[in-house]
Amino acid sequence: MKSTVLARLGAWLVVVSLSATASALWAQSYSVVDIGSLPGGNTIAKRINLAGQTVGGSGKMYGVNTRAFIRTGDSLLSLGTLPGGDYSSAFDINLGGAVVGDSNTATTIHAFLWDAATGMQDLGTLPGDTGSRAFGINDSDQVVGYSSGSNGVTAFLWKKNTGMTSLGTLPGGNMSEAFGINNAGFVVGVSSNSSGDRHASLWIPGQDMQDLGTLSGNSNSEAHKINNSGSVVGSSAGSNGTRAFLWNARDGMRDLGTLGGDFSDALDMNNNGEIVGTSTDSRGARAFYWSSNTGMQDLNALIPANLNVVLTSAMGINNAGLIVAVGAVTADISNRLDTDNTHRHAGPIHAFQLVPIH
Amino acid sequence: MHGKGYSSQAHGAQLLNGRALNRHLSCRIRVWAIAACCLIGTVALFCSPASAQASITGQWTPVQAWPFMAAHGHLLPNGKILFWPSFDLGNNPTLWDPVANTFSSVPIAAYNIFCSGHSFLSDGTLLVTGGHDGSSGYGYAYSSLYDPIKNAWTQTSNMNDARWYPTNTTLPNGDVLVVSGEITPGVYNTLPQVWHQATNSWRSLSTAQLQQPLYPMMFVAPNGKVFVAGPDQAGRYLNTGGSGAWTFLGNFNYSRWRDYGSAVIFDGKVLIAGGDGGDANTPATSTAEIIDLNATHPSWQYTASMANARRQHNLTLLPDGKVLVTGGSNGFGFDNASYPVYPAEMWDPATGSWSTMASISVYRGYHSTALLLPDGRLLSAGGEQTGASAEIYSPPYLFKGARPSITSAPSTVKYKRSFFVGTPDAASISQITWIRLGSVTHAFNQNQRLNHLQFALASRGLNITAPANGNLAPPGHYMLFLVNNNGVPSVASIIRLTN
Repeated sequence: MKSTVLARLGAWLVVVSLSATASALWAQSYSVVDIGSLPGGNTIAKRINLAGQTVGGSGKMYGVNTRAFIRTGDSLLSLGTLPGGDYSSAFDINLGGAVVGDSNTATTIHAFLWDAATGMQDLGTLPGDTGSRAFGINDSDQVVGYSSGSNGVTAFLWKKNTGMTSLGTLPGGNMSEAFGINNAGFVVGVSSNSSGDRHASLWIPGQDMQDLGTLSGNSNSEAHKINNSGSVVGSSAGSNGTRAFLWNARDGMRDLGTLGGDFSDALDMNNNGEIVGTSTDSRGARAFYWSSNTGMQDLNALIPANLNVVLTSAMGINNAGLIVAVGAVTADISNRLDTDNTHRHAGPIHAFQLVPIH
Repeated sequence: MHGKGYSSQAHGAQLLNGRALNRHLSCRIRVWAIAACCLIGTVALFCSPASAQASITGQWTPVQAWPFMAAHGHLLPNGKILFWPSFDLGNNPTLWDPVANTFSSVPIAAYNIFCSGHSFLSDGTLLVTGGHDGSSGYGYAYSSLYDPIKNAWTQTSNMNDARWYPTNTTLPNGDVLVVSGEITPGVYNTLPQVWHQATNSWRSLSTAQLQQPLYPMMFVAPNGKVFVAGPDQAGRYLNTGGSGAWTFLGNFNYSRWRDYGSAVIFDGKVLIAGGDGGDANTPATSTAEIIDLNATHPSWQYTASMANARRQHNLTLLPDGKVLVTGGSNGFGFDNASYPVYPAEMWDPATGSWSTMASISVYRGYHSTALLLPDGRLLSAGGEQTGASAEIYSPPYLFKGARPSITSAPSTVKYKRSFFVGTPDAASISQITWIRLGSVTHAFNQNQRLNHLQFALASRGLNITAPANGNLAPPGHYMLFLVNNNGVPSVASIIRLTN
């Protein structure tokens, strides 16, 4: 049965027709491609650029022997590690194919910038620090992440001509991390405040860091991505669970809801305002797509039903609407114990590219 | 936080457990009868074939139903087992009394504690870090204390960020190191932190950022640093002082990785066995290695391989210094119940060899747990595909004659100090061990460790010397076993080691 499923996936491209549901007016359907893996069979894709290049980490489950990868066409290429390292992972890719992520060395972890011409470049740390990680890059090769040392963890902005500079923290805070940067150089992430809470934060060049707050009743939040319109997505957490949010300067922070559970997280947004992420429902984690027209939709309802694939988290979406998601391949999606219908860590994680069918 | 009741299903399970208890009692009667038999005259002539076999391979009880699956298990200082199940049912902590074979409820934690890390503090409180935030790969930044005396949870200050699958390690001064865990899928928490009980606060080791696989196998080494044995190849020391620093020690010899292998530490030596596989093309390994962290330049050396390749198994330290491996699968894939490994195997540090022991009855793989009990038996429980059940193993030493007894023991001892333990069997005692209380999940026990203790004969007992410092034995509770010339251990006295 399993080999049948894999053979079916091995066909790579599956075309489906639109299902005639009540919500079909705005329903988008997708073809699905399993992007494969490096040795170990486990792949977590993070982002996809307009050229369809996908990046992430692949290896064995649970972060064992994981390597950053870039997928161009049908080819999955390991990016290796920094010298002495036994781990790397890629978190973002820009229009030009430059990739950022983190890599172990023998005794610490450092942010890297990779491109096809120069390979993996160690971005170093802020002065006096020992570790760093990079999570976002814009089309001008500006990189954001955090640096870590004896004074704690601090968000950084890296530019080719200036190197790494600190983005500071919210007033009274003692830590910050940067996760996303748009082409205007606006940076989003998280910073602690004077109360010790962690709040989604926005750095605009030349301005003080801005606290984006939380959803009502929550105490913590963090921002994952900012698009070129200045809209921000992330998650806000409180006693009632975690919720994906959309923030913009005019309307503030908006709860995007869930698929029925008490958890959702918005992981990426394109310049069209389309958002992807993950949410729980009664069966467990499910990848979602959100737009202002459709609201939150379970991506599993938008792919062929006969794939025996469960998409648990949509990680990235490009400006053409292509989505990278992670999930499981299971011989029997009705059997919780079989492999990993609702619980992806019961089996290898597969990464999929979802191509809209118009 | 509030208490919870049992469902009718749970009541049904308890009724089943009543029948299981009868079987258990019958078994115990048989055990004592056999033991008495063996004491009379020439052993071989008077023992039944079954008991003779048990004295070689040990004996398992029948499987008994439990109210929940034990995906996480802990031996508390009061001798009871605290356990909780997996996924959406994770926040159902429950107590099992191994003496009465009864279950009782525990207040629930403030969040789902499945996929957490855990180890005991010096006062016997269990520190639980992280958890399962509704979706796999999403951890909590929360941590909580379970007080076994008050039977109550208290939430502590938050960690730096979420952790799903972290590892706790109680340090020589009683603080607790937490490492690893996933924040979100594929985003690992690379910042080690140390929890300080006196201030209820976390200290970040911000100069020791490093990606580690989930649930890494961590041990306090004799030099006071924390050694990571696996599952990645690279062995490293973490200095937890100040803002922290890693040093690279060397790779183990196995050419791949030991994910879902298991490891233990005894007298400063680490044994790691099995693991790997996990996909459709790669088998698990039967190989095992040992590293002596007492050495000036420690390096991994192969010891004998197990008879069976395994992943998803558990290693458990025994009172006589041997190590028992239970459960696991030798098939391809993550948790392959079609290829269960039923026979237990016992590793002897004196010979470096494994001996095949009696077999469990059901597959104990992913989310199975194993714990040494104070009476010297071993609990094997849970498993995602087997569910809410357990069976108990009596090792061969329980079929080799009368057990030494402890008539008195202190409740608390201090480092380096000599303490007196009363026993009428002092003259027959050949070794004394103590084993830190177990706290196990996902094939790795984050709290167990064994020391052999120095001792001398005394009037109506033994004078025993506690370990010299917390590097050798972090403060907390240990099961003290007297082991006689036949290799038969006493029932343990649980003793607290303090500064």
